[in-house]
This record gives sequence, C-alpha cells and structure tokens, in this order.
Amino acid sequence: MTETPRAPMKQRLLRSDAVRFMAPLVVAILAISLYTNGKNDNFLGGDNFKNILLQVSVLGIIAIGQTLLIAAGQLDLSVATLAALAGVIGATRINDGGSELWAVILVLLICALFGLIWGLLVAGLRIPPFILTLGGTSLFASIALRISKSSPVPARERFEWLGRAKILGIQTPIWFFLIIVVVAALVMRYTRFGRHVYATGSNEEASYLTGIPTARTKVLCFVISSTLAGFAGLVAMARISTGDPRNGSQLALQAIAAVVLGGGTLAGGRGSPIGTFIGVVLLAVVQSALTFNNVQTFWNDAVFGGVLIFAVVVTAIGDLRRRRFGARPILASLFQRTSRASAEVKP
Amino acid sequence: MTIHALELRGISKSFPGVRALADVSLAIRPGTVHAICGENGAGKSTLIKIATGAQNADTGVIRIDGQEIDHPSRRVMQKLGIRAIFQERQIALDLSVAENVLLDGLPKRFGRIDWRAAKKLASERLRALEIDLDIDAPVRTLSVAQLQMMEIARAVSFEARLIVMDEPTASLSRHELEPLFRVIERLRREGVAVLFISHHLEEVFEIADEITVMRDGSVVAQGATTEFTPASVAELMFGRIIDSSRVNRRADDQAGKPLLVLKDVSTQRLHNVSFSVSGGEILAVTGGIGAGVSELARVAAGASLKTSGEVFVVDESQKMQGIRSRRHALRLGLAFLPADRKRQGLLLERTLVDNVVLGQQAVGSHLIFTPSSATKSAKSLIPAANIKTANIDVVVGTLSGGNQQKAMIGRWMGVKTKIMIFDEPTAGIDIASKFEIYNELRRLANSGVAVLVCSTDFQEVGQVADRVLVMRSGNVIGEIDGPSATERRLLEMEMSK
Repeated sequence: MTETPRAPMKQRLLRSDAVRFMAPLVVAILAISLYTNGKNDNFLGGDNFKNILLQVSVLGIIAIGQTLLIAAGQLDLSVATLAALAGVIGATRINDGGSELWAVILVLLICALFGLIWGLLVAGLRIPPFILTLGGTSLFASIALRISKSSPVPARERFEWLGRAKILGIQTPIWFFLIIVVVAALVMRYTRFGRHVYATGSNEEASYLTGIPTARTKVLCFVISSTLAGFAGLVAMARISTGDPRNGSQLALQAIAAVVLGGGTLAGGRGSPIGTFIGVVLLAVVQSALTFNNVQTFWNDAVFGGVLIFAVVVTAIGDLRRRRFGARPILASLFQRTSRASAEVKP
Repeated sequence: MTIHALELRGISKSFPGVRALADVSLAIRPGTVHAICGENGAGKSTLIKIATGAQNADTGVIRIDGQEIDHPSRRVMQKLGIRAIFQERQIALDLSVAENVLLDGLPKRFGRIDWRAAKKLASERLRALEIDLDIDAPVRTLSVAQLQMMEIARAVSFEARLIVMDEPTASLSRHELEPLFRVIERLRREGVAVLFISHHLEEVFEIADEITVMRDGSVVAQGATTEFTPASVAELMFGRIIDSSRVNRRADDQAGKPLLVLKDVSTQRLHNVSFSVSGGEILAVTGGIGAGVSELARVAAGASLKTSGEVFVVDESQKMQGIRSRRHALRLGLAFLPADRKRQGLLLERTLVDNVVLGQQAVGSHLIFTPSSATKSAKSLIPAANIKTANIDVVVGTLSGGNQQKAMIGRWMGVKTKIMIFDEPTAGIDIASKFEIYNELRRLANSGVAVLVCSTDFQEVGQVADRVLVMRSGNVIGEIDGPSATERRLLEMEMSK
C-alpha cells in the first residue's frame, strides 16, 4: 500500500509554532537589543544579559508551570501568592532551626498538595479554574501575611545554593530556569504525558471518550505547576535572603502573558515551553531596554500591556488568514454586524 | 415575467486554489420549496453563504423581487427577508422561548421592554405556525427538534421572504420530520419560499417543488421535482450510479466467540438491556427517538454511568472483565466512535497525524512518543483507513465528514482493538461515502473485531448489520437478522405493541 506523503516542507514550516510564534519574538528581541545597544553598548556587553536572565528566572519557572496548564486548557491565577507563601514558609522554617534541604522539601510538598487540591476540585467537580484559583490567590496571600506577621521574614541561613551560588560563572537561578525549560520541552514533545496534555487541551470530551485519562492529566498539571511555583518562591526568597509575603503579586498575569506570547492560547491545546521561554525573555528585554533608554518607570506597565495586545492581535489576524476566507474579509467583518450576541449551539 | 423571491444569476466564487462556484444560477418563486442536492464539496454551503450575504460572490447578480442588490451583506439580506437556519444553531440557551423567538427585536414601551406584549406576540407567532411550545420554557430544556421549530418561528416572525434550511433534518429522527414538514407546508401556503438543503433524497422528493443538483461547484441539473427520480438525482450528484449492492455482506457464518457482553444494564432511560456481540459480526441496535440507542452506546463504551447491570469484555483467557471506566474499557480493547465527530471525536484544529495517532497515545503502552514515529505510523494508517487526502499534515477540521469518520477509524487500526462501538457512524455523511464507511465496518468485522453499531437510520441498519436489535423507550423489544431487516420490517417492529 502506498504511503500518504507529508505536506511540502515550506507549508509545514509556515504553519509551525517555531515560525509563527517564536521567530517573530526572537526578531523582536534582537531588534530591541541592537537598538538599545546602539545607544548604550553596555546593553549587550558586560553582565547585562546575565542580569536580565537572573531577573526573570523566577517569573520563568512559574511561566513553565503555567504553560502546561494552559496547554491542557486550564489556568492557575494563584501561583503568584503561592510563590510568596512558599518563600515565607521557607524562611520561617530556617529561622526555627531546620535544615535547608528539609525546608525546601517541606515547602515543595505543601505546594504540591495545594496543586493536588486544585486539580481534584477542577477535574472532579468541574469547577472553572479561573474562579477557583482567583479564590486561592486571596487565600494564599492571607496565610503568607499571617505566618510572616505582615512583615518580610529575613532568612538567617542564606540558601546560598538556591539563589546566589555560581556554577561556571552563572548564578544558580538561571541554571534552574534553563534546566526546567529543557526538561519541560522534552516532556511536552516526546512523552505520553505531554501528548495527553495537548489532546486534553484541544478537545477534552473527545480525548476522554477516546480513553485518555483527562482527569489525571489535569490534576498532574496543577500539581506540577504549583510545585514549580513553590520552587520559584524559594528561589526568589534565597536571592534576597528574605521571605516577603507581598513579593511578586504581578507574577501570575505576567506568566500567562509570557505563555500567550510564546504561542499558547487560553482555549487550550497550544503552548510550548520553548515559546514561553522566549516570551519571558522578550518581556525582560523590553523592561531592561526601557531602563537603558531612560524611559520613566510608569511607562513600564503600558509597554508590557502594549506588547501583549500587539502579539495577540497579530496572532488572531494570522489565524483568520489561515482559514479559507482569505485576508480581505477580516476588515469587512469588523464593520459587519452579525448576530454575535447569540451563542452558537450545535445539536 | 414571474417575480422571484430570490434570484441568483451567474454566481462564481473562488477561494485561493479552489473554484467553489462556477456560473451558478438559481431562481425561487414565492411559495415554493426548492431543494439543492449535492455531495459534500459540491458548493452547497458556499452558495447558501452567498445567498444569505455571509460571503460575497466574485461575479454574478443577486435579485430580490426583481430588484438587484448592490452590496449584499448578512444584515442587508436579513432586512430584505432572507433568513437562514444553519446547522450550527443560533440560540441563546439561557433565555426563554419567547425571548429567542423575538431575539431580533423585543417590543418596547416607554423605552423599556414590554414583557406582556412580548409573550403575546411570541405565542401568536408559534400558534400561527401550529408549533406547540411553552413560551416560558428555558431553551436549555428543549429537544433539538423543538429548537429548530423555535428558530423557524423566529425566522418567520420577521416577514421572511425566503428561509434557507441547511440540512434541517440532519439531527432529527423520523418522528420529528412530520412536524417540520407541516411547518414547511404552512410556509408554502403563506407564500414564503424555502431553500431546502438535504442529504436525504427521500425527504427532498417528499417536500420539494423544484430541485437543483450541484456537482463540483456547477449546476448539473435543474427542474421540477416531477422530472427527476431519486436514482437519477443520485446519479447526477455523483456523476455515476450509486448501487447499494456495493456494500459487502458477510461471506458466511463466521461469527467467533462473544467479545462484548451486556447483562441487565440499566440507567434512568435503559431498562435491563442484555445482549452480546461476537468477534467477526456487526450487531446493530436501532430504534426511534427516546429509544435510548445513543445512551446505550455510551454506557457500553464505559463513558456513561449505569445504575445496575454489568458490561463485560471477554479477554484472551475467556475471562469476563467488567468495565469500570472509559479508560478501563479502552485498556481491554474497546474503542468508541461517538456520533458528534466534531465535538466528541476529533481534535479539530490539529493535524490528521495528531488525530490518527491518538489511539496509540491513549492506550499508552509506550511512555515515549517522538514526532517522527507519529509521522511514520500516520503514513501507513491513513491509507489503511482509506482516507483520501493530498498529505498527512492537513488540519482535520477541513476534511469531509466521510474522511473525518475514517480518521476516527484509522485511530484504532494502530492499536489492538477487539470491540468497536459506533454511535451513528454515518451522521452527516453523503451517500457515496456512507457505502465506503459500511465497507470499512465490514472489513473491521472480517478482521475479527466485534462491531456494535448504534443507529437510528433504519436503512443503514439493514444494509450493514448481521443482526439487528430493535429498542423502544429503553427496552430491547425484538431481534431480527440483518438481510431481512428492511426499513419497512423495522418500522413495523418498532410500531407494534
């Protein structure tokens, strides 16, 4: 029997995530870097790039967990305050005289447990993760404030190996971030679990009826994401030797933004760790470039929002063009009012 | 000169790389039903989109009551009384029937909605069409047939000149057809034109005054229904003669040992259903609306809970394994192919490769899957399931219904499957592809698979099955062997006390 051929290479490349999402981000990163470097050659020189990576390692680790969730069609808003809580618990444990390693293991176990609870509630009771984890955000913030008595907890031991040590001249947080990206990329691309995540996110009901363990897959994603958030919280705490209960309240939204920049969609089924990595780096490079160009800091959030909106609009236009309508009706459809108000329901 | 409710003249439309419509002309007089017949991909949907203003033609003219429409858009055409009822229903599920019927304009008084007038208006409109619906009922609780009636009422309430019905019968059972036809009859008497698109030639001949047959984007025949026969239309649609004897029957009595056994299975709607399916045979379970055929498919596949009874899969050592979940059933070699392929079967936005290797990835005897191994197995699975496609990287949502169903069959060719349960295997699939699917089912059975077909299509059941079980309101009421299961015989069984 003859085999059915693959699509032509050119077509496959044009449709691939690498070309559609990652290449434009890399181009943007290079353009911004070169432009800024032209004005101040410290941008690419010296340790600035290492600093940029160090700055985003905490966000990056959280964003990788979020990538798994988003690919599975889920979401977790509570990772930011969970990370802060992890830092506070870690610092408190050390101050109470435990060993560093035990403190880390305890924190990771607690975070995994919270992830397990979210996962079971979402998969078992079909609670929308958005609302559930929105509640969790406040809950974790409160617990962190209670444990720390509302003020930053200085850690007496300094968790040197977690936050400040250098291997081959590069700080450990960067290593952790890079290793997690690579492992996640391999898992998502090459393992059964990774395929189940994408299948669940693409069409949960079809996956379930096929026989894919969709509930277990979702629970695992929540557990992994929460554990990574806990680890990120510990790294953040170790870097400043302080468990700050108010640390990083923006991290959850920034992580989601990075995933979406890297090709993820909140509808599920798309998103890749490498894409997220590039998304995270872009956000950091933009931030750093603003500082180098002496832009006043209150513009930071506006630029962050602008980058995100620009990226999703470009992606949406690309998606529309890929459908058979061609490009022309896109503008027309903006002005044509159809009965969007009514839901489309199939029997 | 007659005035036409809608006249399309010389319509052509191309998409990048495809000529969808070539010089299509069509004229519909008020108070007539005009049917469009054609295979998938013949250009029916593009034509409807152009007629309703959802898309614009490259060339050609649209006239309503003899008036040429310069810039047709959805909005303009709706204003002029061209309404459409699509397969994807346009319904606000959480509103009441009254609100949905009047969705495009609730009566207002002093700038606020006048609810009393709204209800009165809605119930008047339903009564005018002899549609029996509770106007206060939340729409979520209605059946598919009732939803359709509601949509027709909405379309008519705004001085519709022409109503386009895209496959209105696709999701209706036979019993629900009659009220639909009654409403169409009513519309006809009131001078409303109906453009009726259907796969089912029987229905076309029952209801249509005129027929247009399309093939490959062109009109191949047009005329009064009396000028055609179902056979001649089918031949025109496919450009060749369709012969149901092409469906292969079982060569001889080669049924093996029972592989799937149901014992006293009950749910809220099923009552003590027991039967078994053997390797090598195709057993069909059929019945009308409310018979519980589809629910039975889900329960047997382990996808829905049962209140009592047991579904067993017989394993290699002849032990009866009761299935505990959908996943457990899969592990025992039981595959399920749901009726709603788009929602429940396929990863629509992913490629054909991703979809056909899903079976292997679900069973999960391996922990590692590389993209290159997926490509490799897809390359052989796709021709093995007779999927017709230029390449394996196409997005599954763009394939025809027949090829989508084959993609779901192909998914199970790469894994050890002993039992396959099909729920409505040919829903929304054109006649020619139907026969191909039937032959696929036979090939599966011949390879030793136990095939269970749950279908409300009596014609299909008779053509494909070796044995047929007939159900009514959750009970199995009779069994008959395949070759003698004619449509008429099944109907008699189903109606008898």
